[in-house]
Amino acid sequence: MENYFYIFNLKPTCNIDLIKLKQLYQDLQKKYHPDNYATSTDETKQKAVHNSSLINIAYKTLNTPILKINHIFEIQGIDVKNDKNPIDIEFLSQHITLQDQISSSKKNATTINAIKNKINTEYDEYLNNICTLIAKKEYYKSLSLFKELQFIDKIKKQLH
Amino acid sequence: MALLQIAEPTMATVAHQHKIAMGIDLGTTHSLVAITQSGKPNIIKDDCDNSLLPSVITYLKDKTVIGYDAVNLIHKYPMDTISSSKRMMGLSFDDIKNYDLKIIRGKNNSVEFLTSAGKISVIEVASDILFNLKTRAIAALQTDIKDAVITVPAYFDDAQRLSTKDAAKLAGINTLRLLNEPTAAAIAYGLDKKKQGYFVVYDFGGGTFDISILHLSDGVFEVLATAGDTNLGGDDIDSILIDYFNHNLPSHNKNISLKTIARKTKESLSTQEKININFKEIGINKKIELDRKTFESMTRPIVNKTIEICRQAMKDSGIDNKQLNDVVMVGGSTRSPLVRKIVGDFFATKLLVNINPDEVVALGAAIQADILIGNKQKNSMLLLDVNPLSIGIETMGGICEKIIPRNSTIPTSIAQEFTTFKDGQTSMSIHILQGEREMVADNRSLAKFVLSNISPKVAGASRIKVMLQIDSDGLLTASAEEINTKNKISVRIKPSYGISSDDIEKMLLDSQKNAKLDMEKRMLEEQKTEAKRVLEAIKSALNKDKKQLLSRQEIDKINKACDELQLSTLSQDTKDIQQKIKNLEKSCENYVAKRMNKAVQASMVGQKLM
Repeated sequence: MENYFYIFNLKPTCNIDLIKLKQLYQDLQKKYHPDNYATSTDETKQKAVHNSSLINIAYKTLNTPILKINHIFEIQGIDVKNDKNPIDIEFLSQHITLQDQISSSKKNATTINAIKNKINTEYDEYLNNICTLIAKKEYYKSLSLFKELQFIDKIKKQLH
Repeated sequence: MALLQIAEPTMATVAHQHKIAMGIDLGTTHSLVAITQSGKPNIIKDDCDNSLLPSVITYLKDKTVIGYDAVNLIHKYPMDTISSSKRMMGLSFDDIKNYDLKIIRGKNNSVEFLTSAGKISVIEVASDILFNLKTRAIAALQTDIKDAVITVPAYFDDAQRLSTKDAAKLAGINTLRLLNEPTAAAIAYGLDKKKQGYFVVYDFGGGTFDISILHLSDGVFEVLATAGDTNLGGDDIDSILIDYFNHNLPSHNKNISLKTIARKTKESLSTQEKININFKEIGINKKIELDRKTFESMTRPIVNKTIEICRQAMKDSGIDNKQLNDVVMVGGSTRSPLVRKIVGDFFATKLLVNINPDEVVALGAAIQADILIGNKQKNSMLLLDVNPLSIGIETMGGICEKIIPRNSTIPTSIAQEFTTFKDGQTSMSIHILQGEREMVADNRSLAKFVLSNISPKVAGASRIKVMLQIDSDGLLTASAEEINTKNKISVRIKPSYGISSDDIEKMLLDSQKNAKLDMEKRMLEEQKTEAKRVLEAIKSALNKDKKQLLSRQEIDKINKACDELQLSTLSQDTKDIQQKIKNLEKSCENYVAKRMNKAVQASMVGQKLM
């Protein structure tokens, strides 16, 4: 299992300084991007493609909250996809109602904006709570919240 | 798969010798080559001071004619003259919509031209253009150059990019990087040095129109949207003028080409308000007066077509005019005041027009080439590109499952697991696609390969890992393996109708032979020039002081050597000319010594000689 945090010499935590991460990412790419090896041997070029790809993927993962948290679970050996615990019924019915509202009020900007605000606030709250739990190493408690966050994220993207 | 150890590129050797690499704009209507010297990119011109090389080649039985000379042969040899072949780059015969008499179905469903010189593939045409540009650069810099950055349209897919790289290989060029044309134009304007911003690259050339919307943030150039029309360009404006001329001229031979006059008219009206068009040179005794206003009302619909495409691209990009920082103008047609006005009004943003719009892409490529070959500090710039189209794999039911989404920063790689769907299944066909559509049939098929010898298990029990990798040129490699076994297959994606690597090898050998021939020809020319130079220098010296310094015999001896050299230049024997130059130099040794003495003596008494 690849640990993307190690690539940047970071500890696997939820709270990463994104400005620092970007700087680390650019420093690594400046070192390993295949453009730096344009005149090297094919073997070296291939290594550079490998490293640069890995750095790109690692950066995207750690820079995207949902992917980052999923990766922390992966490192802990927790399989989010195949977790059998169901999502809370009340949460589901609430959010499916929201989805219906979105599709039935496509043209109504006020309604859409109201939903947008609600979802964004909810998203931030979830993210905060999950990160607090992960910091306390309460992974299984945070897992059920994370599955709900994935659902919220889907709605967020739909609104975008 | 952690980070691998890589030795730092050896900077020591680089620091000592200044390496040279070309920036090449391989265009639909014309191509250019540029080289960065002392930090400044320059277009390399041909012997006749032309920057542009029309991307036109005439293939005759005994010779190949390229560029402006080929343009002049279009009417004489319409079937043997190939132009705009870039439009067919990386396409299969079945992809060609506009039927062209010259085209035939080649090997593996590729596109070939049937000419007097035989069958010529699209890649060979591109390769001949690249070779010509390379020769131009070598002649200008008097040193061997092999490396180049070659530009491609941002929307070029894997097959089109690979074909471009194959053409370069065939021309003996090592591709340092394929660079997107809009990115190259942005680099030429130094936009990559900005921290961040949104840019439009409006590229209105002779035969094609492209628009790209770029987002730059900390050295990452992202193509947010790209759109265009491969059959819309300055040529359409020429056609409108030709129709207008035909309408207003007395009946004449319709075969007479009015194209040159149309082009001149268009160019004059970019700077003048009103002109008198004279048709005397094509044998018609009539003048037509045309003012800019009338001209613009005729051509406005063409420009408006480009604006419709811009509107669509802006919508796709999800940004609005207010966020735009600059609009980069590329292509000869952007010289037109009407184009500038309409584009400026539409985007309500500053237009960048100071760099010659025909040259801007090649100049940007030359800047990037210079960096890649190692002439600048490694830390100066990091240019990251994204893949323009998503890569996916066919799954059950003809669905394309996207594995690498479009606009992922490249290089990138990804692994995805698949499983068998039948009990006892021992092989699996893997079909790789490129495009944004849901259904396999609507996307472009890149390659199909089969992983066999899968250990037979119940359906869903075998695990097959498919790995896809896109390198920094946007080219794809795929491999598949059965997990927990040694069963592995790896393929470099080749369009199923493209040329095989065997064919490429064979063509490479042929081209090396030709290259040798071309090299010999060049050396002969060089020796002839050298002979001419030596003869002139000696004759002018003799005229000045032979009587004072030389005996009758000595003069005869030198004259004889001169005559022999003169004669040898009529032959095609490089070595003979070389030898005769040496002979002449030898026969002059005594004379040269005497002249030197005289010069030294003269300088001592303060007199000026010569």
